Amino acid sequence: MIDIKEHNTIDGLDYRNLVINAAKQLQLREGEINELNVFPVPDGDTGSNMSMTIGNAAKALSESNENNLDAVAEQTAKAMLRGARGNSGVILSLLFRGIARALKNSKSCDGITLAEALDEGVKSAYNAIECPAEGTILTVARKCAETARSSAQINNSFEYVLENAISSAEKALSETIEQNPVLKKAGVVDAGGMGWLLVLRAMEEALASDQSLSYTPAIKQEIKERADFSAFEADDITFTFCTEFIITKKDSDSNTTPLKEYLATMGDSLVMLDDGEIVKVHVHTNEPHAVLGEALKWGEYETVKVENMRTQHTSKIAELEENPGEPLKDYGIVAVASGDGIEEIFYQLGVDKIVSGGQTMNPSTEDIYNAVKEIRAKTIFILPNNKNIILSAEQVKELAEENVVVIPTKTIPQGICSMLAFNCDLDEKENEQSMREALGTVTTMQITYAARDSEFDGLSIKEGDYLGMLEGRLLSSDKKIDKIFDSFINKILELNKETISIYYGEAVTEREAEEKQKYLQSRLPNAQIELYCGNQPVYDYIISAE
Amino acid sequence: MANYVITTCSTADVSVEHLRERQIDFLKFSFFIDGKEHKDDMGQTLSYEDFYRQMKNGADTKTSQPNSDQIKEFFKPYLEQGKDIIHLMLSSGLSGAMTSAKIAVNELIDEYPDRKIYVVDSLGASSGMGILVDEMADRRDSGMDIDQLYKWTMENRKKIHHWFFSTDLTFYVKGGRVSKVSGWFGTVLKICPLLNVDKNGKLIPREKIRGVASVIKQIVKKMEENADDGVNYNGRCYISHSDAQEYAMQVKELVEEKFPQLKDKILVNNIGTTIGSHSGPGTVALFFVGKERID
Repeated sequence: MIDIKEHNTIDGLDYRNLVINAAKQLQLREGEINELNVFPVPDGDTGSNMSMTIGNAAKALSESNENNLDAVAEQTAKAMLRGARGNSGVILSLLFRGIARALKNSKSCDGITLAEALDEGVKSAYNAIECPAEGTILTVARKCAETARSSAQINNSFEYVLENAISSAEKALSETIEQNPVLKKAGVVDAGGMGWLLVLRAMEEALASDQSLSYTPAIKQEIKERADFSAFEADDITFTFCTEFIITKKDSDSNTTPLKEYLATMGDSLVMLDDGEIVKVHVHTNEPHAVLGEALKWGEYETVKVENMRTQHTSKIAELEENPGEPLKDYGIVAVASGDGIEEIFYQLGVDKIVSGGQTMNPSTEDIYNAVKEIRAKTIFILPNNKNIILSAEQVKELAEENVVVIPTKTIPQGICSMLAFNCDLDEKENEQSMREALGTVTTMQITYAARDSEFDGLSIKEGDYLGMLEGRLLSSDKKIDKIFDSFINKILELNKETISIYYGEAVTEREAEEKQKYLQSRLPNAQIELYCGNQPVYDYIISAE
Repeated sequence: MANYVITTCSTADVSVEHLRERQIDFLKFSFFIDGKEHKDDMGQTLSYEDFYRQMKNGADTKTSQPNSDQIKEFFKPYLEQGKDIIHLMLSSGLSGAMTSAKIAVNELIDEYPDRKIYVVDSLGASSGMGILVDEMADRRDSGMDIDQLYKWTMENRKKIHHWFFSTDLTFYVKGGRVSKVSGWFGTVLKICPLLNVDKNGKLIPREKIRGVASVIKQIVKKMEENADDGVNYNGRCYISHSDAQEYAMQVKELVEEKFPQLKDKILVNNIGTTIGSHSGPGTVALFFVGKERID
């Protein structure tokens, strides 16, 4: 019998496939979305953030046997909430949370329900954003929900409604370029909107598949400065043994690709480096003996280390739980930062816990939540210190039992100013107010480099050019860093600022930084200019003017 | 000539000559350097330079308030002469001397039932007490009687504003005058905390300011906000400092610039050994009269 499935409705199994396929597609095409980011600043790309966010859901679904539609939708929403990274990731998670809400107690979903679900998603996203901007993923999602609603009146088939929603999303996406002046200058469509369209298309594509899909996260070397043991639950550990070894190759010309292929079948989290002389391997597996036996064929062991991650994890967690440590304080503070100099400054200002990141990779809601959990305090302030992390931080409120207050710091200097305004003798409202007020007193300028070629506002930016950012917006770009400093100096003069702090990054030597300080001082003789070693990645200089 | 005397403490941080001229006697507190007791005679036997140098070199300093016997001995000669006494005491928020004084006064009243002895909790310290006691002396000299003066002092004591900053809060914390609070001690960022004395006469860290230049601006701004008549203020303005002459002069210049009527009228004093034992070197304080302190 030929079964031409009409897809008038979908069930839990279908929904699961839809989500997993969407995650696969985003993973495949995250680079394309990243390319759409207007400023080629090398941090927190939209595509990567969305892909990692939905990837968290796909991974959870792959590992679960749940088949009921409402439960699958709930699982998806929860995993995405915890895994949400960056603004676009958070919005994506909110869209799915709305869907889960609409599907509550449903065993199947038809066209009308789909329209309701999309509408719920849009509502929950708009509610969470303080100033929703048009010409973004929000616009795209809203327009396609509107279309879904009218289509469902005509035909109550899931597939029909989804198809119409997709056409509407395509049209809305192409319009974003006209709605948002920044996009118009750059001549691109909105990256987050593109991500949502890809999700919808992947869902439609998955309808055709009758097989149960599964999802494998891409192997990525996560940049984490500190191992975060509580970031994953013991159940998340599918392969028990963390196995690391170095072998000296018998024959330096031998090709180790077959070893890598073999290792890939034995577990996950594989990292393998072959520099000709030695091969270094890191892999999580359930059969370390077999892995070590196979590797022996290629050479002799230099070092071997095998650790049981389950016991490691359990004892680490037990340690944390047995030692609640300090008594309950009135206030705790979590700040997102990277660079040991910057981190030290925050600690000295009274921050309890630093979440690494902000540059190169945005921390997820769960990363921030885990830091919050480690502090014993009645009220916890979070300083995201990056405009792309504020929303993920806001979502921590949904998870945490403690009273969480997010101070929307968009830059490191804003974070520092708001810490200076913090005073534990004041009550929560007074603190929130003075910390927020402090944000307005500082102007932030940052220097980084272009991660790729790009066109913006008629300027052509080449990969590697220096970019001067003023409050997160492109101010200048040039091959010579001094030109960027000149543009900052003009800005400082224009704003009549007198207290300048320079935090230099890990790629800059103290001498270079001192020369820049001297130059600034010669051009700004009345300013008080202080130099600090921030050691931050990506941004060679972070400059604050007060 | 009034039939009463005004007295205060060695913590009033104006010069000995100044007090003598105003006919104000002072009660000596005690301080210890590395365990050795000294009487605080306002810099007469041990110079301030010498004292702060020893602190910088790591000498351990402590203070002790006068006990009730010492206070009785201080008051007695005046009572014997048939004089009433109004004494301005170091803030009860910083010292237990007020309690000792109450015990002393209760016993003295039995011995000298015809005399009046008023002890006023200044809720202040350093040259803030100096301003208040000078204001009291003005009223004595213009003929106010002791009962009215007591009433006036109680009503006006909270109008003396004390703002101060330090490049280093370590000594304050060690002496228990400021609680150890994280965030106020950022050495990397060169934080100069700005503090004041609150309505209960306690030291309260108010703002974290980066760099001395900024904190000098901010302390003068506090005066603009709080002084009587704002920038037209024409009352007493005292500055005191612990081995921080340069910063004190910068504050003075800026105050003179912002408050033209105060030109050449600001009194700069040393922070004495009793207050200095708790502040350590590096504190600059600014005092003036304004609206009543409400927090």
